Amino acid sequence: MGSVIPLPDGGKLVKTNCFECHAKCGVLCEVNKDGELVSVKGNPEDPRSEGRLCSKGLSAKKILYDPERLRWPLRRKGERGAGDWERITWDEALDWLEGRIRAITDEHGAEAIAFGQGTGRGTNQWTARMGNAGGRVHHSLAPGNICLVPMMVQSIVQLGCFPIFDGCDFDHADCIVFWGANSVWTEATYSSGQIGRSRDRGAKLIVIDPFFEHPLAAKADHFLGVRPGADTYVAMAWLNVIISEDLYDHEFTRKHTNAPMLLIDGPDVPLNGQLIDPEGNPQSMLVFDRASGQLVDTHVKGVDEDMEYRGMVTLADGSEVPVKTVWAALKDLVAEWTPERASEMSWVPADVIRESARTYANAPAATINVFQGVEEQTNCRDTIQLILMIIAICGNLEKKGGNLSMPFWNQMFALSGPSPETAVELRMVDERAPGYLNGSGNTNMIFNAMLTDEPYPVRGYIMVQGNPLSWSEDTKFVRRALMSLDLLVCMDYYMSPTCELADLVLPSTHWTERDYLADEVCSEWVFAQQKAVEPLYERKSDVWFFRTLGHRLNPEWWPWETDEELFDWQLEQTHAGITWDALKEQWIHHLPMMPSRHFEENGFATPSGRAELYCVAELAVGAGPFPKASEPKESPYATPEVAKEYPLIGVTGRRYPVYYHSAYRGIPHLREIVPEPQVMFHTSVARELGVEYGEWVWIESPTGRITMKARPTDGVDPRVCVIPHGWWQGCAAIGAEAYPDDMCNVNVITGARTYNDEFMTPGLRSTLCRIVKKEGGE
Amino acid sequence: MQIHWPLIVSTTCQRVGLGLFICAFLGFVCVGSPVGLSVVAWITLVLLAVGGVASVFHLQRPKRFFNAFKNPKSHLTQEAIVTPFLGAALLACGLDGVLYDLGEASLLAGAVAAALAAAFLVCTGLAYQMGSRPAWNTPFVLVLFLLTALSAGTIGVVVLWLVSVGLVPVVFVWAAVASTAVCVACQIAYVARMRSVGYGVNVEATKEPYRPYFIAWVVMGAAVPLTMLLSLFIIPLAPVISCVIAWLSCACGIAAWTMLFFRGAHKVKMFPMYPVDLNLDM
Amino acid sequence: MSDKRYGMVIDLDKCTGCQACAVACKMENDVDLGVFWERVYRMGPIGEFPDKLEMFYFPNQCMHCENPSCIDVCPTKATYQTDEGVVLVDASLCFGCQYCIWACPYEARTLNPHTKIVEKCILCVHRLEKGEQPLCAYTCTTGCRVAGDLGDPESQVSQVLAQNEDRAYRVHPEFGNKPSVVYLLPRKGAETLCKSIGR
Repeated sequence: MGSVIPLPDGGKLVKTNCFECHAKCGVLCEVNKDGELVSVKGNPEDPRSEGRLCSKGLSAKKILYDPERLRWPLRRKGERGAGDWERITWDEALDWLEGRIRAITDEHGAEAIAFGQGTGRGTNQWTARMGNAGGRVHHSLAPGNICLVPMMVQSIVQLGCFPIFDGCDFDHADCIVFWGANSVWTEATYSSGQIGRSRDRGAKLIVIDPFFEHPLAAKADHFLGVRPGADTYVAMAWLNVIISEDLYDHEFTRKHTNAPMLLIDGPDVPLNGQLIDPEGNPQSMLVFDRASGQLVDTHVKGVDEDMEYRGMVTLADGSEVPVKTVWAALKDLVAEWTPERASEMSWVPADVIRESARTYANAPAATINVFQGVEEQTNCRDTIQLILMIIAICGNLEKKGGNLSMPFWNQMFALSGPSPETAVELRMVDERAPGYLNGSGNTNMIFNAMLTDEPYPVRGYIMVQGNPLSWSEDTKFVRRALMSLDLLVCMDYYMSPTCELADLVLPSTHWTERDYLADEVCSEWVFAQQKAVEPLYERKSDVWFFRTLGHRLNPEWWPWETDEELFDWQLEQTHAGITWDALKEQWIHHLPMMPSRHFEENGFATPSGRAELYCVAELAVGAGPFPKASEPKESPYATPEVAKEYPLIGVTGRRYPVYYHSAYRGIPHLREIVPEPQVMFHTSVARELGVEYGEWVWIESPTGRITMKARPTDGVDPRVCVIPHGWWQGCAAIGAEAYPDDMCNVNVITGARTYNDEFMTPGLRSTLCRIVKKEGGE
Repeated sequence: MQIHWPLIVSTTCQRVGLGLFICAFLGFVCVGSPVGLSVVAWITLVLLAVGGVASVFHLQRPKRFFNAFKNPKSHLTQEAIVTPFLGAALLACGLDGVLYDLGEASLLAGAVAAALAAAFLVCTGLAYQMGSRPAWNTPFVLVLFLLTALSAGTIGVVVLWLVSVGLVPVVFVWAAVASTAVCVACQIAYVARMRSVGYGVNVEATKEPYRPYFIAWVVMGAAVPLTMLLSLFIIPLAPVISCVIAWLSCACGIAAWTMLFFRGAHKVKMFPMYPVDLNLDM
Repeated sequence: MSDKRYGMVIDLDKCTGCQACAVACKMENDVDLGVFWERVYRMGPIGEFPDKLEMFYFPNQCMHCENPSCIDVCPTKATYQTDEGVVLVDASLCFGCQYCIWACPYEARTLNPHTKIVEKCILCVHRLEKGEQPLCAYTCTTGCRVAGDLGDPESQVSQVLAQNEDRAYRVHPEFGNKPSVVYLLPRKGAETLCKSIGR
């Protein structure tokens, strides 16, 4: 049966995929004989979602036909931001845009244009290709630093794969951990149903989250109400318990991690082949083989590795150096982090840390789902590395019921094309955030370059699905930066606050009206995300836009005449083993899996060929190869002087299941469910402040202040508050307010104050702030 | 529960009107009457009509009013079925001595009308006895619908006597005092019961948001009518004015009482074992 | 009377409050703005952070009682019960007196402010009759709902109920309504509830 099923009444049922979030659930779109979308339901043939579909996907019909959606290309007529537009054709838009880009790049160089996106959900590679095709630097003016890049890059450099997102095998796990992640609301496809089934079988559940209103917290066998950003201590203590109580997977740790790899004691750098033999390979790292008594390469199989080896090694230059194993170093590293010690810093009771670590480590197979609660922290690299170490030493990597690699994450890079050689020198980083592992610049510095021309001018910004006034920290600053541009182009569904400032606003097709490939977060599959209805008005897909613009600017990089040709190339580059036409016919296609699924033969794609506890690549780029029990750079402990004025730790960006970031506050039946922005803080704080439920309060930080409605809750530590994001749009149909001038925009209070060293991530999930009662009339 | 104004008006008018007719009829039988029953019947018909119009306003689809007769198990249908018969009986009484003279049958017509009036009040009372609302889940509801009607009716009879002949048999005043006192006592018991109905919906009538209705009822439903009636014995200066005030105040008291009755009738909580209610916060 | 007895089992241990059911219901039945035939409430969080807290989600809709309180109070016979036990409202009869709303102990009914008619969950009978799950159950992201014939011990819904009889809970059984929507108590997060009903 094909992917388009004719219905008796002349309509049809189209198999495609939802695009309302990353999960891309398989859906059945019913279209009537007049070509109108009638309904959208989950498709039981999707092995991940099995027919389940969330509130956003179910609303597709309302989103497609929402009269507020953009319809035609619009070009600015009056002052920037004045809202005075003229409708133009696509040809006019592209001619004009091409001319503007050429004028700016002729004057300032290709680096003067930044390309970006909001949540790509499948355009990551095209945004990057657009930037790289400019030949100077791809700024990637996108929220990668707060979403995906820390998790994905750290995983890939450490494990050679990315197994903590759609690679969580909830369906077969005996223990499921949500660590700063709420996938049951954000990507229900591959989590919710599977978790329910597994819990019915007796699987344990652990939730590590500052907020008890996490939908699984109350159900969890262990709830760790961690202080925001203090996850490093919990992770250290888990390792401490797992190692000291001998709960780790001995076989996996010895054979498949670099635990037995030898380090020179002191500098803690790897002992490599060339150090002991001038003819040896400097890339070759060594283990001590108990069987032969020899030092052998970490890649060699059939070795009896000694994890505990300590001794003196004579180097090629004749000197003797003490060596120890990574395992020994790791034991030293975690020794001081007993659950009791970690409890002081993380605010999680010691016995809860200890018991949860035992539950995880004792489970035959356990999976950890990590997300932005951990990622949007200034110590995100340390936490992610520690968690990946836990996964590895407990043998849960590439194990059924554990954390599995998924091919998309390794193969998407091929599509972006090579970064220009000048990318490194033109990258904007500073001492706040050297960004060792983030390939692109610090978004805050790029916005600054728009304002100041320092370190060099950035005069244009072209984005799809992007709304930096919502996603970027320090909104007021970003607004000033965008106002100073010579060229701002936004392709979007709606006239977002960022679109309002643009020179050119382009109407994007909804997923029901465009062809795409669904591959990102699709775990083992690729889908033909085909259109169900013809595009309405003059909407075009983001891929079409990039392809068409790219073809005009650099046909060498963008040779494709049609989207279908591009899809074919994409499928070929990612070794999917299918063409677009064939995929469209069958809708779903199973991808070949990563080599590390059979790690006994293939090892892991890392410098040591093993899952790395000691991260060799990080040493090479200048970051520390071992994680630290690091404190967020802004916190009551790190910056007590700031905390004196701003005593609450604000967790920003908590999700709603009915919205996707700032999208869909304008869809009436969704807005009915969550009508207003509410800031959540402990009932005792409300009592102290004399604040009642539903009262508008100020939320203030060193950077700015916003207002939201107070919602006191028992479900959070009295020293923590929870602030949602994405509130700007009104919904006239139900009389729900818009919130102009960033009055409720949480990123007004997040700042450019501190960043993570490796990924340039601001501390969005641990922003110091305070709640202030409004005085009369405010 | 919110206050449904049309129902306040309709049930108040019905109780004042039907109570008057029933009491006047009983007085007529026992002692005699200063005015013909036909006059009382007309007063009752007018009040019943006002109440009827008000209750139609309660309906969201008033054009479908005649669907009300469909379910004999429903007390509202029962009330609806009683209504035309009650109207006809009252009309028969009202026209007696005007268009025709029923003679001995007058008493029978009056008895039929009074019985239907009582039946109507019983239907209304039963309609509000609901398990889902602990405050209403009690025979008190029926008893109070009848007692409020009785109180208003007995005071109304006193008014009739004083207005028409300037005198009233003392027994009627005592009957009014007694019925009002019993009614108030029952209402106090009902209010006391509201404090411990359970299911997480106990109501302290003396506190906000019930307080205004409570005070209005205490003043108009209890204090003023009883004071005015008793004043007839102490300072019989303007007895007509006193008892008219008592009657109107009693009517207003019934309305205030009914507002409290609605306001305090919360639905059972789904999980009354928790001190807080279910919420829709996300 | 048919032997069929439609009902639903909702596992509160699984529900994550995602509101997919509420939206599915709106889409499938074209329910007006301001009206919910189904929506997910939440109890709590209540208690002391971090380890003495309770919270659970509670999807609420018509319970399709065997002995509904709404039918007898309805003067128009707009509310009726099908042979399969589904309680429905005949929109052509209802005149909006709202006594059924007051009489229902489960907050299942709403006066539609646009049509002026009382509405409620119809258990997607049009889907059940085709052998399909109600859309709320079909789409449920957690798989916490299953509907079907409670009269047939072989049906999926009866099986789920039988396997979880220890957690089965019919809200306010003391009213004698005998709800056909049976909840399975949360395994954690509802200690006060469980204690008060002796579980």
